[in-house]
Amino acid sequence: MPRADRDERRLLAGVRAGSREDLEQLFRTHWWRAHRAALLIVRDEAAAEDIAQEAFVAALRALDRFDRRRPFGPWLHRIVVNRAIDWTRTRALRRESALPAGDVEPEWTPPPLELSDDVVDALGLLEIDRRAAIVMRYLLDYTPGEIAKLLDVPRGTVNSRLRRGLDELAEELER
Amino acid sequence: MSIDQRLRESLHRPADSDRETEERAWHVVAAAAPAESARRQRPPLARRRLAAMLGGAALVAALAVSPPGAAVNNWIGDGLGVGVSVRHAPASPTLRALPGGGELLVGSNDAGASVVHADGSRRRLGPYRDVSWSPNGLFVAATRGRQLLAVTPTGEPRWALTPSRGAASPRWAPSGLRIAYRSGDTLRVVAGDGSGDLELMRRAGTIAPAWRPGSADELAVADGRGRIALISAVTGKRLWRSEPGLATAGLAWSSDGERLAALAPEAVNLLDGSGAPSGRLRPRDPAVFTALAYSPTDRRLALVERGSGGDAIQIVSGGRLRRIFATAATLRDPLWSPDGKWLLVSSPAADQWLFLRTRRPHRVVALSSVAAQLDPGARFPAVPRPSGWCCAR
Repeated sequence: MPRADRDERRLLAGVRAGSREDLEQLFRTHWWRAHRAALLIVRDEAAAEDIAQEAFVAALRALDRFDRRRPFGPWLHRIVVNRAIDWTRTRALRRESALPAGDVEPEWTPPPLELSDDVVDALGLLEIDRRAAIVMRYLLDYTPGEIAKLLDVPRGTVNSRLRRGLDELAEELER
Repeated sequence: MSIDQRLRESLHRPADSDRETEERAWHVVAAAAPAESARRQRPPLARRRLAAMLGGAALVAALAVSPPGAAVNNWIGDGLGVGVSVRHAPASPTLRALPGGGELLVGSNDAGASVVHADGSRRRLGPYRDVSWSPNGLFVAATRGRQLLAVTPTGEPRWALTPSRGAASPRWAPSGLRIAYRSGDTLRVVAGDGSGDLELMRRAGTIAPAWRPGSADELAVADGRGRIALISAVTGKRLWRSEPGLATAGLAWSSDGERLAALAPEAVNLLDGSGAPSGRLRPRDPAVFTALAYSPTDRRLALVERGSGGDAIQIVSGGRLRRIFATAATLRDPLWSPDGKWLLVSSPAADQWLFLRTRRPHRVVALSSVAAQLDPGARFPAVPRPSGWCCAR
């Protein structure tokens, strides 16, 4: 078994036993990527912080049901990404109900992200499923097969989302 | 550089606020963890009640050492004078009774709407959103898809409308005679029995309208530029209109209908009943106000203030702004109990509802694991949002 896996099992056992030090190490190991993934998907700094915090607490709450042979990160990322997608869709519905028919001018535009650049901004223009797939591939480093398992969708669907997302990104960056 | 390389480089680039965000989150997660540890260690059945009490005690201990605990100290020192004793009820894994009584209307994206009764029992109403009590709690105004509905507190629909542009933010008038709601960019009003649906205002913004208590069905509404108008739902006439920029995030009337609070992130603007400015409250720099709620019994105004260190609850009373609670986590949905003694706020990251008793003796009652309790079986349960607290009976 790789050393990193052994270390994580030890940490998880410590968290189950109530060790604050192990909890902090587990948190520090996984927080940044979980929060960054939420931020890139929802593009709202307050919401991303909420989503990542809630996901961490939810993951801790369900540690008893967690398969100890599996790594913690994918499990946490599954919660984060699904919640971030749900949040984005809910916000889109609310905005839609606030817009007059045929009018495309929203009253609300999200403030620019601190980490805004041309790539991050172009990513924000993608449809939510494609954006999430690209974040999972290029930030969280999952393979298309792993993304398919985490999102409960066919692998072909993930491949299609990635391909179309990358095409649209490239097109946007060339403008 | 390939698109793959550009993506990896850009998505992994550190941000200046990363460290600050991580520290804030760590406080929240660490504070939530002890209660979880206690809950996971399932003792024999005969000892579970004791364990639940200990779990509660662990959470209180977490509150005492974490930013929320610091806030409780703030409650004593900043708000109400040194030496006041604050009694904490244990954080309860189940809600046994609603502090303040009444009936709580709760909305959730996954589980739909529910009513929590005074004894802590819960009834699911159905897959409704945007729920709002009628003035005496006999009905609930709600939306479902594009529909506007009136349903009973047991969830049975009494009538439904399907406006062409959908329905959002329904609010029942204190008289019980009318319901105002947003549809597209218009504000509409319909009689309480579902008849007489008509347009009241075009280019209404996205903020929920606020009925003026004690009036002949007058309501305040803000347009997309934050300009407030007071409109008579009886005649359709505009009674007054403010300057732009006053209300971009929320509106609330005092219980006597004499003061209107308009929320913009950088200030709360206070207007009198004739629309004249009567004051402005500013958060501490660089904080912002994110939510507000007037007490149903007097002119106390509760504000949620978000700063770099977390969120705080401020109570405005008699011209004084008093901080009564603070935490590293996000707080939202402030809601007063019908008797005006308790303030409920939800903490989504900690998966808690906090009932803050605002009158002596001061107390904090925390309810943990709210999402699982009110949204059982959901794949990714989100913390349910309290939408209304009814009624003084």
